[in-house]
Amino acid sequence: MPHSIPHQILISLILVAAGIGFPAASAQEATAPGEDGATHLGPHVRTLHGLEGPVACAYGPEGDLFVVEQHADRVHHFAADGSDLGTLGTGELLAPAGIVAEPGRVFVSDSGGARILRLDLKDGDAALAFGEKQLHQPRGLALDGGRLAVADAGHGRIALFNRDGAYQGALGEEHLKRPVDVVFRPKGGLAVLDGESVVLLGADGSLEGSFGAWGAFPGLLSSPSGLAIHGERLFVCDTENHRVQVFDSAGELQYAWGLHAIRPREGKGKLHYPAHIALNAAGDRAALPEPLDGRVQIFARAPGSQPEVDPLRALGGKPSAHYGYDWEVSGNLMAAVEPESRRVLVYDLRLLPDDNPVQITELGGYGSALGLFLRPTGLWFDGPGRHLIVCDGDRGTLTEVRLDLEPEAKLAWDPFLPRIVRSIELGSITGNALPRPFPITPRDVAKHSDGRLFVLCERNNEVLVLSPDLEPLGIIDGSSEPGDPFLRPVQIQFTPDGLSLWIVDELAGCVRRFDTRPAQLGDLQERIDADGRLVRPYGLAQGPKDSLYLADAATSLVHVRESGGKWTSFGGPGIRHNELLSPRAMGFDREERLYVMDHGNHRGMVLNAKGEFAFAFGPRLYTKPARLPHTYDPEDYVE
Amino acid sequence: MSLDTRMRLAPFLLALIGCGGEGAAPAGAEQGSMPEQVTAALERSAASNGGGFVLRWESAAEHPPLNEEYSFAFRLEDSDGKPLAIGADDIVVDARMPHHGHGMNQDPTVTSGSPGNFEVRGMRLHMTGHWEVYVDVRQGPVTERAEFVLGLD
Repeated sequence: MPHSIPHQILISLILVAAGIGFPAASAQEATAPGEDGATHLGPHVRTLHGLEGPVACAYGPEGDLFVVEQHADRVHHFAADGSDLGTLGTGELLAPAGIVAEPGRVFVSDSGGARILRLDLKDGDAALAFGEKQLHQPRGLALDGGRLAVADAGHGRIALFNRDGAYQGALGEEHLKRPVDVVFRPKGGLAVLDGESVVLLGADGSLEGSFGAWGAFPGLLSSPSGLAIHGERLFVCDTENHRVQVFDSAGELQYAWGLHAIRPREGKGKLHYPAHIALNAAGDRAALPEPLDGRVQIFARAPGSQPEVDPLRALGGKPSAHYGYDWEVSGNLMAAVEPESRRVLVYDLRLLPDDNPVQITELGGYGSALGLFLRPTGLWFDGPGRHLIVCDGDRGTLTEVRLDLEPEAKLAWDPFLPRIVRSIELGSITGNALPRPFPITPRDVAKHSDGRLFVLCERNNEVLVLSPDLEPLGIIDGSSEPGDPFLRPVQIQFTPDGLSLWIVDELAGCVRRFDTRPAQLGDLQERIDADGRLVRPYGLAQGPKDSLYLADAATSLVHVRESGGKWTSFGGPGIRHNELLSPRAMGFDREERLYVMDHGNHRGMVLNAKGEFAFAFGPRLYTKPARLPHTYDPEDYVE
Repeated sequence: MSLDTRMRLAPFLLALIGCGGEGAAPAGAEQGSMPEQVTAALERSAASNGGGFVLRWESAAEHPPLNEEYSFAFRLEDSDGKPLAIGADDIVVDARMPHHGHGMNQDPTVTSGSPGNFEVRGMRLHMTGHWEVYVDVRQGPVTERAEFVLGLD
């Protein structure tokens, strides 16, 4: 054995070669609370299944667990042994996003309602609602003595209330951009999860430090979305790295657990986009909700020495390719956002339906320089697909890219295809001319044939309209309907004649069509809720014969309004050829094939206009059940 | 004569051929020690990718030393040939290798001379291959790119 290779690394290499990875200690090694020698969290002990979009958890004083089900707009309550104790808040919450518990009640951040609800366990109803005047897009919560801290993502600050809902002020505005979670530190002050950083604030809001940066290597973070604390240790739910990282109060990495689930629905300790972390009071149980898999995994302490951060994690290389929420189809080209790498992937579709789309180039990568992205979101192919516009939600920019592509060029990888033309800072444009209440964070974009840009801004819940010379022309915010502003607009698309703009509002459960003509800009023309079918509409595509297709991320259905007004549906949750999981963006190609971004299954589905399966592309393990239905065995797709 | 030597002599040679001139740097621009007027030596040019301005640069910029710091002068003009009224703070110069997906290991700095004239220092192309040099120019809310390529043997 070469002496130059440490023994631990050799063992790790063998495990990798065998496809075993770096499993945490098995469930059998989990120890009871307080048992001697249990030093670190990691072993999987239980999974709670069948949840609808679980995004946050909180432990109660008895070890009971509250789970926020965002797609069901409720809180699910489980006993310490996992038994179901019922639900809370049904009918009162809209897209709840955070929770904290104390004896007899919970506080829930009601993201869609921009408020906090206090729910009593006795009857499950809201006993108190507060914060409507102070909060915008509230997320994580923390409770300490008489104070409730709210990560106010919309305002970019921490709002403080007392238990009775009285506003106590806000902290950290000058240091935070878009905080998503918060905890009280035992020696005073707060720790706040903001972007790829943990920000340490003093009790007066002063900056005491920060740590974290984007990346996959140990100590780095990628779209973290949950923060918990026990003693001096900070536990970060590192969502896109599919792990939990544990830091000391100075930001030094102590250990990590969790491995990326590779097989569809794989669990039992393997993690798949965990959205939050909650610790019980003793710090010997952790709960991690995974919205795409509709489950919460529970982890316990393990005995023995605290695991060292695995040195081979640094050899992991480029994050795996997953499709995000958005893609755009134009002619024979398709562009898709890959969230983990912050890249935009460009595919040639000429081989369909006989073979996969061929990736011909990519652009972006993480960074703030021109041509790089912090958070690429919506896309737009300008004209015949030779120009691409990319939204960067965190930088507040649109980036225009020229694709130097010969239409009949041989299919080949070409890193030189994308030429960065320019980027536009949207905040600089609105400035004093059209001041907005919150920073401009573009979510989607569409360029009109007359050169006007329509930019969907997620933080302000509106569509900003710019002239070809980038002069602000106006805002579409839904207020043309009294008392009916947008709640969470997520997608925009012109009608084929360009006279109207569809705007999908995920939380309002509807799609609205607005006039785009300058004199009537923003006038409401039509509102569709598909007779109440829409729960969380996201994707929209205009099909043949004036048909309209709407993908619902919560029900995994695609609803079709045919030219006569009749509604039909296809899909439903699953992984087989006729099923989808949390579908997002959609688009038709010139052959009238429908492309559905099957986000939860990490694959692209190609269907005919009737919704019948034609092709699937993406990771083999996810496309196989659709491409080769005779091999499908449901047992392969359970935890 | 080595490229390095040529680079060091360039200001002196330019002064000898009468390229000196008057001109104040734009407000906020960092005043460097580059020659006041280098247009005559900037024999290479390209329109920016959006057509908003023209980049002129010295051909020596396309023949840098391997893994050694180098600098080059460049000029930015509008479509009428007038110098862009911007400062060095509005310019970012970078270089990347598209085949490899990486850039340089250090950040160069831009200094301004007479209006429209700039110099970038601290460029270091650390490996052989196909490089693209980017000059990104911010004017108001828009940042636009001009670029040229070079092959380093």
